[in-house]
Amino acid sequence: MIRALAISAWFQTVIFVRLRQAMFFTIVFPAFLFVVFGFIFGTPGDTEYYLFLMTGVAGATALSDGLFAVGPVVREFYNNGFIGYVRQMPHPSAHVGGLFLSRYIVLFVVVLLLMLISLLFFGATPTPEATLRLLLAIAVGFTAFSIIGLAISFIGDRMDNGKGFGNVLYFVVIFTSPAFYPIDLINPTVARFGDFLPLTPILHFARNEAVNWWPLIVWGAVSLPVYLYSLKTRQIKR
Amino acid sequence: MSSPVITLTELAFRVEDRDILRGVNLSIERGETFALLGSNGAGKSTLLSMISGNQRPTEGEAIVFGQAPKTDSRVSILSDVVPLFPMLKVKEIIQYFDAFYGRAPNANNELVEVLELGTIFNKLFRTLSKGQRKRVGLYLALASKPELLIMDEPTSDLDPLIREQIWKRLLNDPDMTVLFTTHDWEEARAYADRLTFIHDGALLTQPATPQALLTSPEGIGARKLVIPTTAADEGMIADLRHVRLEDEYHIFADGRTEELVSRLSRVTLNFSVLDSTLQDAYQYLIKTKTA
Repeated sequence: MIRALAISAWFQTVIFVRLRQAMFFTIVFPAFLFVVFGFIFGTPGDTEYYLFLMTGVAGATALSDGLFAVGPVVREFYNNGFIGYVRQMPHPSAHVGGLFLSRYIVLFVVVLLLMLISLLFFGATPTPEATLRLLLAIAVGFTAFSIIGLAISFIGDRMDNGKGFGNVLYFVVIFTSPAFYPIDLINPTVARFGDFLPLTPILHFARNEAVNWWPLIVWGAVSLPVYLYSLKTRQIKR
Repeated sequence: MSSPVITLTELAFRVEDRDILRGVNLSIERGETFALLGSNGAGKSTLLSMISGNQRPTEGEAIVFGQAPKTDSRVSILSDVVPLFPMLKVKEIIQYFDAFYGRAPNANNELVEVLELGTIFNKLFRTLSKGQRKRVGLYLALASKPELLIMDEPTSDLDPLIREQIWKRLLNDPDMTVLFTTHDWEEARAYADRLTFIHDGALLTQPATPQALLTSPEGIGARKLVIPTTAADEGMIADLRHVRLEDEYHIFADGRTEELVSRLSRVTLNFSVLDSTLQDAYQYLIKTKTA
């Protein structure tokens, strides 16, 4: 099983590298965003801001990948018959497991890339503890966002609008969370709204701030059954 | 005698008031090559899906290797559309699946040769033609050396030479049970040990050899007369086994070819004497069973 998972993850990573759009939004765009925001809003020597921005960009990338890179792919696995095809094979769950593992690896690479940019462009380096905290936050966040993405994709599949729901959620979360700016200082009302959305606790955890996990737990607890129910009822649909 | 590999008992599948399959009883023995023939929408793919375990019957049961269909390394499935990774190369897809099955690299050189995969090894799957995709699907279905191979339209989009090679070199294993559908009914006639027809979700006849289906008591015989509808009145041939297909009557001679030729010659010389086909038997059975 471990070998099957590793092989699946390897080839999923190969597929990812060949998808220009995925490469752009997961690697190039976050790096570009970090550099541009860092130069516009950062002050030389203000390490705190650069690390704040780095965790925000990493969190936003995990959100984007979770919502758009797993749910639609798994939905497509079902729609094009791939799941039925591999069900007869050994370790069928390793195919989807490999997709997840591949995305974790890619996101960890993104974090390392952001840290490198932070060091080279802004001279800011997180401590080992902060680095571990960020990686853990990204892993937890990506898992939760993926479950939400799966639910949205399978519901959207019925309404032919999976991408639309995902886009709305993505932009609402990004603009109401403290991903790129301290929203609670700019507009406390919007910040209170953002506190109920799933990215905020991930960012607070990554930044070693006080965390209220409940919004994330509720989002996951609602999304998982919705996804499983959509999957089950989808199977008997013809 | 060993037990059948596949047994279907009163199998039915219903979706929202619509019967997709009705009362299907079927038994397929070990080592048989069995064809399931029917027109589009007859229920072939759904029946294969029940046998594969991808869908469950709403009534009756399917038994495969003595149990309800489930994941089984003895079973390989080739669907009509091969759903693989568009962004992987053919050689990578083969590596991927070989690794899952724990097969050594290059363990299936004969498969690669017969299916002519060497020429497309470095092509991305998404750039392949339908026939090339089907060849990759066949490789994956056969590489695990299954005891039961279930194939939906396995040789569609393949050129005749490769098709013949596949049947003669890859699918003639006496230890392998092959269940397949095809739109090329002559292919079924040439390679199936037994076959049956399906129409509107129900089997039209008991499974039999292709020859027996043509010549059995309810069959149509080996020869037929084809006459344009403009040259004959249906009342003239009402007492004969026949079907109307577009602008022609197909009259089944049933061992009385000379007699019928003589009879029709008195009315018109505008007819042909041809060999009967499985399509004729299918159309005739539909006509008699649904009349």
